[in-house]
Amino acid sequence: MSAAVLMQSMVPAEDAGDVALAASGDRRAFERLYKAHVNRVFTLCTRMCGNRVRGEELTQDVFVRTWEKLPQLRGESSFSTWIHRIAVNIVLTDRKNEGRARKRMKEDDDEVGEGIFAAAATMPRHADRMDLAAAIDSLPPGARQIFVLHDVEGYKHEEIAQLCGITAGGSKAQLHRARLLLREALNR
Amino acid sequence: MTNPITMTCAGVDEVLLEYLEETLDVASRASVDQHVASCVRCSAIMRDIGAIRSEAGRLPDLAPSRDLWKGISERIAPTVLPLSVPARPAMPRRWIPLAAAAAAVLVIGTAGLTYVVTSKVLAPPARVATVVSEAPIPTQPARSPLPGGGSDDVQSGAVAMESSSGAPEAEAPRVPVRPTSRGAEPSAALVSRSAATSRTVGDMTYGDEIQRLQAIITERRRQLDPATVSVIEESLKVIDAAVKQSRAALARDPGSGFLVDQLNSALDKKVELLRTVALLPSRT
Repeated sequence: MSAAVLMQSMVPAEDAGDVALAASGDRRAFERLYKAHVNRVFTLCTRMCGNRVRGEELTQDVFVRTWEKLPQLRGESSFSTWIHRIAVNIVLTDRKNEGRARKRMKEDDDEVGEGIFAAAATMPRHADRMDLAAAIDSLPPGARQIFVLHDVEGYKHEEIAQLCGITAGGSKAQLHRARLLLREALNR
Repeated sequence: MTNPITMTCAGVDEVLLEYLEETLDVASRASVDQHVASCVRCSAIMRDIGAIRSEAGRLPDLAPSRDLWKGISERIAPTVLPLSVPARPAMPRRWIPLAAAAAAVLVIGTAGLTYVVTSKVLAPPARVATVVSEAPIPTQPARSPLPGGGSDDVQSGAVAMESSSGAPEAEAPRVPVRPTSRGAEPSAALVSRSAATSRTVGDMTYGDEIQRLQAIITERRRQLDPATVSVIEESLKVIDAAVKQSRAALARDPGSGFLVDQLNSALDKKVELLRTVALLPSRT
């Protein structure tokens, strides 16, 4: 199931009225939209960036950007899908703005060629068995984002490639590497 | 192509990505399945990855540890000036008179500077503004057809009309008419911005025209309405005063083109007024 189809199925029916009101400047309506979608957006941001504090900051950025762009929302678009895409873009842009995005993506790709278990040594070890959420947070950024987008959010490789500016093959390689790293982390 | 019979763990690792993405060909897929079914290591990998994929799709949503709306609300709030801030319309009002005064000073200064530059610097050196003798014509006694007209030296000498028709001549005062019969003793002011004509007193004379018109008016005076005559006299007084002032200023500053224009303008007005009076219909 693609991300768009997945998100469409989760669109609250009452969104349409609030979206129209918010687009016309009604902050109360926008607050209702915030309450309906904040956890989804926060989850996506936090899983993709691997940090709850940063995830909260990015969530605020997402809703501010959504407010600014609401008048541009076309009627046929689902608000849920739309804000989800905004969140993905903001997280990816945030990483690029740090000046490490492309470098890390390249390094990650290189590391995959060197051996899919090589990066596992850098993952933190825990006394107890690591749960999946914590293991995801410990993944290298490039592998983490693609794993979240594909296995958690349901994006296809072609969509991920377009969002991240990489090839579909690169996305598959990153995903495979992320799965093996997670298995390694979870089995310690 | 991987042989199903010879598939090893290393071979499975090599095609695992394609196997999981379901892009592996059918024969190779069958070989992997056959190996995994008999290999503890590879079957564990397949089982674990399947569990990760399944669990990842069922991860619960997270919730922020604090209310994020406050920060969002502040960032999307429109900028509004607090009502406690005093309004400032009084400030511009206090500056309006000062600004107006500054503008007036600027305009006056610019006008003065322009006058100085145009009269002292840009004036053609050959230009001569001449105020000629205002002595009365000895051949005619001074007599003004109208009290206002008689106050000015231009009309001080009532010259005998060269045309007895009584109609004013149509030619414009600035256009050279003919040499005056009085030669170097013109009875009226001769003011010209042309150097050539300024040196020739007969080229253009307001005096001749004015005197001709005054003679006509003298003859028609009794035919005009007294109230009309009174108005004409007042108008001539004003014009004569302007002529007198212009001449006085020009005497002090003979090179001023501005004053020459002023004097010419006043004389033009006088000629125009006298022509109008000369053509007025008789009272009924």
